[in-house]
Amino acid sequence: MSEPFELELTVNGTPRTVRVAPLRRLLDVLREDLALTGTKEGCGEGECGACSVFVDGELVNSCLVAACQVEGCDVRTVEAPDLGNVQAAFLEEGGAQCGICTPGMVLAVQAFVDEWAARGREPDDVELRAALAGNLCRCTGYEKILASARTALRRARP
Amino acid sequence: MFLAIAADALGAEVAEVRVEEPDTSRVPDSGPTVASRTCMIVGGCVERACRELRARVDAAPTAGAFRDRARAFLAGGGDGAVETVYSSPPGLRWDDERYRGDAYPAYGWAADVAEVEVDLDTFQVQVTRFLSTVDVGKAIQPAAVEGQIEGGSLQALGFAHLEVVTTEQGRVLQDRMATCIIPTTLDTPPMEVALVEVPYPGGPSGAKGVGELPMDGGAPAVASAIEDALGVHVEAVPATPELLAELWLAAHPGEAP
Repeated sequence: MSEPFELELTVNGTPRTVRVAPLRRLLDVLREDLALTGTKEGCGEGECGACSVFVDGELVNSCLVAACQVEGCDVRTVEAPDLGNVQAAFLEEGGAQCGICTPGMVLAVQAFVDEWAARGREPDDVELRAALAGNLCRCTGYEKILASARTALRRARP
Repeated sequence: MFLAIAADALGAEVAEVRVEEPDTSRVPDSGPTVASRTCMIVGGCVERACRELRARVDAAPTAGAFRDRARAFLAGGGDGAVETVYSSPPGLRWDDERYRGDAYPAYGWAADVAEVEVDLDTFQVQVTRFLSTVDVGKAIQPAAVEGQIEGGSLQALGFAHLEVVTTEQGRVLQDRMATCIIPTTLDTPPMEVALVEVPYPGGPSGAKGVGELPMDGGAPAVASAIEDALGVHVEAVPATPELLAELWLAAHPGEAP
């Protein structure tokens, strides 16, 4: 059961195959085996969201996902080429400081933008804050991250 | 920040300035990283060094952008290396051998205002608004300074009512993110920052430090706001629901909140 297996998945649009133990964390598969070090390990226990990635479009903590759970899945990390709108908003609003939470925050903001871009109304402050409540930041006070999210959403609207 | 200070002092573009990797084998020991002094002291050294360099380049009778004149200066055998060492401003006595004297040539000043709601059933505190006004001397990069103040203030708010830290036999019990409860976006109020710029003559462009100051005022502001809301003296932080219930019940024996 713990024998290594050939994991096949798509990462940022590219099919990849890696030989890994079934319970290896997706976080380690990305960082160690695929050298995609943009994804950060914060707490390693699912509390802080720094290691957030998309698995089949759903935002997850990659420290809590085992390799055997992502067989055949479509994984998107902060290195994905289609995050430019959110990344530009972070740059303009000063949404990044020390940087550890930033990759996870960028993906959480992308998930927020994806969810709200097509809706007919603006999210209120609590809805915006709730969308990012799974991602902890210790140094920005969130103010400029929330501003980045508002800017990214405004620009994603048709 | 250093890029901006250097570019300003040189009359160059920020994009033209590059910072070398820090290497302790090539620089003198500048003492501990304390007192939010990087901008003021290191920034001051950077500013003075760049001004000296600019004066050398300006002495040559050439015209155009700094970049081009500097190239011509170097090509003509000019010396482009400048060393500066911090020295205390006049009137300040500091003995670096014995670490005695007055270490602080300038102080940062701030005023913080907190608005809170306290649930009278659970004594849960929610900070609903927070304003911080900080005299930073001069904000070299205002957005970055605001971010520092907002982040430091949020740590202070966590310290004020959320972040219980206890020890048992010398070990911190809240040793992981599951038990060390820091504020999420939902625990954070909308924050406003007002920068007050009273230039300090000893700092680069008048700048003082800012890093640590936002940690200081937030908790007293929240504790005072809770006192105002509950009418009891908040004698400790974090002002947890347990502490507030205890204080309220002690002040109102036999009453329900």
